[in-house]
Amino acid sequence: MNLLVEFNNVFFSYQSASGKPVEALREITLQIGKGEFLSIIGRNGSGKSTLARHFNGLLTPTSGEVLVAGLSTSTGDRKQLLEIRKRVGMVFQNPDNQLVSSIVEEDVAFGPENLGIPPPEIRKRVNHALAALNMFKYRREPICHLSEGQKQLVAIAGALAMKPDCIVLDEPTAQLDPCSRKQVLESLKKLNRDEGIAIVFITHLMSEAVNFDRVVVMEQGEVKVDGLPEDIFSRVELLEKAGLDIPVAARLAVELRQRGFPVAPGILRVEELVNSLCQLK
Amino acid sequence: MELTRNLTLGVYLPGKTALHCLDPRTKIAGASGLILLLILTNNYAAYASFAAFTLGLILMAKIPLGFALKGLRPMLPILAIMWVFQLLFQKPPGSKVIFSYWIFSATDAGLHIGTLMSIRVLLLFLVTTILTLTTSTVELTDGAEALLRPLQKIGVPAQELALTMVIALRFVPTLAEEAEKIIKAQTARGVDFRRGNFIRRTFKLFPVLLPLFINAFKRADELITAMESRCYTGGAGRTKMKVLQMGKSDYLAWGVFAAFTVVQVFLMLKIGRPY
Amino acid sequence: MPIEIEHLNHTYKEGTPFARQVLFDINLKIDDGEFIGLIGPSQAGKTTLGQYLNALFIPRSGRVLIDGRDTADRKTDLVQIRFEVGYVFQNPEHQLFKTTVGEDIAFGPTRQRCTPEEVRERVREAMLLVGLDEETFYQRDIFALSGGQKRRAAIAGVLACRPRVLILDGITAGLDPRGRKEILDVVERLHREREMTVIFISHSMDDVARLVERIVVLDRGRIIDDGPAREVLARVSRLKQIGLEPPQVIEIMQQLREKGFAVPAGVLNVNEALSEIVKVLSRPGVKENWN
Repeated sequence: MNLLVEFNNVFFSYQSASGKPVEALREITLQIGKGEFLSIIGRNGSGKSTLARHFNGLLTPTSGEVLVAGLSTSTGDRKQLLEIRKRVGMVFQNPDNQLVSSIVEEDVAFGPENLGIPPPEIRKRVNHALAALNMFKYRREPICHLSEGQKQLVAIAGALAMKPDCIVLDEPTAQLDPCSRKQVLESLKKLNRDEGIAIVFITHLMSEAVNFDRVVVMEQGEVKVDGLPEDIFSRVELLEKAGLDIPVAARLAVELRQRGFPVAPGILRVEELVNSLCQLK
Repeated sequence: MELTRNLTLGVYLPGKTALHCLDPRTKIAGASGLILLLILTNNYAAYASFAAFTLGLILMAKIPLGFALKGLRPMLPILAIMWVFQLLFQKPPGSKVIFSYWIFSATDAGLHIGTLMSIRVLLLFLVTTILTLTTSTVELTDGAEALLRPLQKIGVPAQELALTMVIALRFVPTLAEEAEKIIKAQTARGVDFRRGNFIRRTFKLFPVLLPLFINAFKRADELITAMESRCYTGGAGRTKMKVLQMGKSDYLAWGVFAAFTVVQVFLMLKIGRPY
Repeated sequence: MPIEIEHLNHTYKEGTPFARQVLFDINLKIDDGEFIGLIGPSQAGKTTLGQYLNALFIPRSGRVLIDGRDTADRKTDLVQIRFEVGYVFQNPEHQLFKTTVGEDIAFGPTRQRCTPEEVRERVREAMLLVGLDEETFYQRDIFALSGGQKRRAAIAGVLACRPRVLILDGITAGLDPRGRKEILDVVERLHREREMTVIFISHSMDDVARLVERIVVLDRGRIIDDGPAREVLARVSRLKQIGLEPPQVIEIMQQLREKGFAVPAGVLNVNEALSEIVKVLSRPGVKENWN
């Protein structure tokens, strides 16, 4: 595996409003390779947003270290930090609070403009990024005329225009309706497949996490499980303890197996369950 | 209940008319020139020609006339008050008393000053509205930045100012929408914003401002994080995707503007003040 | 307190170049004690329609009658109507405007000119209803609440006005599964114990399937379906067409039926589905096919 981001025994604590230290991350060791398609899942307050902010040096570990392409986020060197942020794009939960300009293409250009790239090259990147997210026809629209889902796609295009190796998305779908949700997920899949960009997708919905190649479950600031989705979702108890929902198909499969019906193991999706049941009939 | 329905100032009306397509620098400089002319203008004939010119611009930009005028409506009560004040308290030496009652009296000069001032304010508002209706906020800031850039040498942070403006304008619709939501939430719990006089209604808006401000700070905080993540480190070393370029129509516009200025100055000098 | 809507149209930014019609000839009757899910994709007009039900919007075309009172009638006391039909919005940060939980919940009753004792009593009752412990939360700063707690405080603020109809607009959006369950439990209890009419606006079919008795489907400003929850949800393909995601259980049962599984239509929850599948698989002769 070609390493991209590395968390080495990372701890992070901060002072709460009342002055006592709160340990938000504990003993995180995590390796993310080039072109991975990964989801980090946990309930609110499990530390996943704090973890996200370590990917590009918005936060730095209290102890341990985070390396992006071999560069540490903790050196405090501005140039190095810029290099890291060029490689790791970030998208946040609320699209309204991360878009800078009122016109779609102007906003997408914001990142490359910051890097001092020549105008024709910026234009090329912006057009490419918008096309990759199926937003090209909206390039001159005012942001305030877009739906929340479309705004989020613009935010992703903004990250893509930096030509990153990896995009970290912190609950990008939490405010969206199911249709836009699906659109965002499909777009990310496409970026991963066609452009080879690693995707780190943070969510609290299992039904979204099943779409990824690898799932990391967080609970109380620690990584509880790290593995293939089909291995994780069969562990119903563990997920319930972490305050997460289990996709209905996975739950039915587990319950049927427990009752002695030979349903195939590792079922996550509706079609898989239906196919497996049809073979039993 | 739609707070933003009658808002015309600061709203952009997309279009492809000649006015829309001018270089923003031309439009900003032109609008500033027109405003300067308005401040200097001192008689009805000049104002009439100015109004005709403004009307021409509105028609040219294909702005529905009713929509442009509707934006003037909120100004009317304030203008009426100002007009009465000018009427009653402007008494330059040599003016004639045309009306008096109890302790109040008005002069012909007061009448003219009040009326001219009201027309001036209305036209000023219209000119600004035409500018914003035909120029997107992005163009506006790009234009302003380009016009300010020469001042960078004497320490004016043109880039930062422009970006501040971009962000402020970006959040106008968001905050207006949010204010509407807060007003609705308060209405739903028994506040009646439509009842009471102007002052009472204004006071009722204060509780709306508190959550609006608190949210605005939260937004600002998140925005800074997002900007940092997108490698923003200040104005130095930034490039722009769009490079402004003046064309033939811009030079034509400059010609029209120069001719209009000549007419206005002529009318000002020839006719002079009516009082 | 029945609510009737007749031939309602709504145009956003009417009279400006940005005008856009968002509701088309809406006819709807809501009876006492109903539990209705108003679903549809985003921008279908759900929120706009909801805001006609408590006179936040006043019809310019069509009529809205709340307990027989026409909201467009100048003599109608709209403030009173808004106390009777409570509205909880999606984002709690837009509707909590005092600094502490207690003060905020007291806002409505104070405007209703209740005596201080009565205000206190209503706050206590509302907090109990939404499951916010009075001792812990009464003095608590609004900012110190979690997302789910904020939403419960927002609901309490509306409940303290003692409404007879409650409109809940997207109140589960963005909550994690546990927070969502807490909120939904509160809503269910309100309907069951207080016999309140509840109108639950959502684009999450999972929430709706779990709770409501009747579903009204809105798409691009028009009502395209209205009926008992089980029947509406069973029309899966239509819901999918307009971009809604039917609950997975329904999806599974539908697909099984298409493949010749003898499971009934209208199954809404996992346990029912499980027992139906078990029934089919336990039939004599089935086991012999396994290898």
